[in-house]
Amino acid sequence: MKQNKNIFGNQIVKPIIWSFFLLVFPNSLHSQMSARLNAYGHINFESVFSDTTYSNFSLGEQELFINAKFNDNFSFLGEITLNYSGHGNYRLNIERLRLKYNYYKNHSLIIGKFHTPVNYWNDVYYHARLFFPTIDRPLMFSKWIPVHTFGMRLQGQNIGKNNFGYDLLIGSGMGSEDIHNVFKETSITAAVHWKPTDEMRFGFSGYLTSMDDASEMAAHSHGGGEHEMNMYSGPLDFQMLNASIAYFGEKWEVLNEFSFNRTKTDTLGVSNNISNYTYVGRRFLEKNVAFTGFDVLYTGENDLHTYPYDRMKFILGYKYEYSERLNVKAQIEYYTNIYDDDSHDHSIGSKYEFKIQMSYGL
Amino acid sequence: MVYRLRYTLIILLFLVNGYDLNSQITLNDFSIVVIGNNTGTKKMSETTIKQYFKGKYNKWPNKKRVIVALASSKHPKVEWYSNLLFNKSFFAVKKYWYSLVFQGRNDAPYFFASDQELIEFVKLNPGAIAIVEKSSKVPEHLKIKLNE
Repeated sequence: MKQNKNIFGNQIVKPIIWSFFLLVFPNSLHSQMSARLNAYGHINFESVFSDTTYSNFSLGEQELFINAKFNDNFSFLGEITLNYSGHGNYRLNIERLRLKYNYYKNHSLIIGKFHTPVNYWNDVYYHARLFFPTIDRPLMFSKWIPVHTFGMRLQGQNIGKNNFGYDLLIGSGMGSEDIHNVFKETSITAAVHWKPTDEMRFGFSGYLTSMDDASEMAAHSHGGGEHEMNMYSGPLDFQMLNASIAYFGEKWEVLNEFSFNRTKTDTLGVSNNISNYTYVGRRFLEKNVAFTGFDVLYTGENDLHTYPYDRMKFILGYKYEYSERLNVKAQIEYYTNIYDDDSHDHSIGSKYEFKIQMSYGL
Repeated sequence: MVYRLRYTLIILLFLVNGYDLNSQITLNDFSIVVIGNNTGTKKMSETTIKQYFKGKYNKWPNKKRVIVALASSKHPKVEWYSNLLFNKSFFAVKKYWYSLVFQGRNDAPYFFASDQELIEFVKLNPGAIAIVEKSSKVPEHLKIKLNE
């Protein structure tokens, strides 16, 4: 029998959101509104060398970004992407759609759909490849990072001399959809960060949710290179801790994303899963960056959220920035398993990939 | 082992922070004046005023929204101004702001091709700030003094 895993229940969350909207919106009706529209996109070329070899040239994600201000306190942000869905068709996705109320100094209340600020990557880069340091997201995004949350968020940024920041979210879970049963499952995210200099940021976060059906992972649609469907449709508890270190200076660029999660099912018990992504770049002649990266991911043998999986990825690449709105990245990737013995029957072999990506913003 | 770890950490810190150890150029050293309209302050430390230009604060002490006005690529002193305020090239400043706006953390700054345009914009927009050369004709009521 399926359990009701909703932490707070619709009866509490929905009235809070509506009260917030009614409190804030009347003051904005008579104000002048300013809006800004941007577009982002990318084009990919990739060659894969494994048991079979193939090349592919593709139109990547294209998106519209809208940022509007109703008054000094109240703003709107929307990010809509267009993705190829096969057979000549394209699919529209709402990636971010949020209303922000700046209620005191650098403290804000946000409602809507936003990127869950569990790590630096998800809180800073979103969907525009123009800002990504490497062509793909880290592997952990294809397995367990809850990219989006629909709900309510308290945010603080650049607080005090040391530029502390915080985010506290209550919203939809990993399996929730945007329209139907938004709060069928609930998640809680708590994140803090610290920016000792303009170029550096340290972050730490915790994420907690429970799901009735672990196979429904609507928030999991962002591959970091490899993605598989989940066949387990029973209840599952999910707890996650993340730590980020980011430094983007004049010469050196460093990003480390660490993620640990613990899943629990009545069927197989507790599983501990871990992943780490490291990027190091060296900028030269202002617009050129030579970079390398190492990505590793391991899920336990009894995990029913993403299934047993172990993978390592080595990256070597180069980026040239024509301007702040146009860049080209080229990288060579080598994928292999951590364990290459018979005790892990989920080995999917090794492969090389060569990729070129042109990304732009207008 | 402990000593090796300590040295490794020191080297790493130097690699990461080494480029920040150089003292930044101060606005007081040059013929620059900071201008602002209805910001609720006539005197401010240089560190604080630079933080406003970097988008660290959304509002002035009088609760007016901060509107940042910067030199555009057509401004003859653009690289100098970028270096003074951000310790970066204009290319890096554009990247910095482009990313901040996309993150939804700040409103986009406004860019102007001359000091005169910057002054006119600040004059017309409460909450706006900019830097211009002292030799430009700046109304006294727009000037913000630096107290360090």
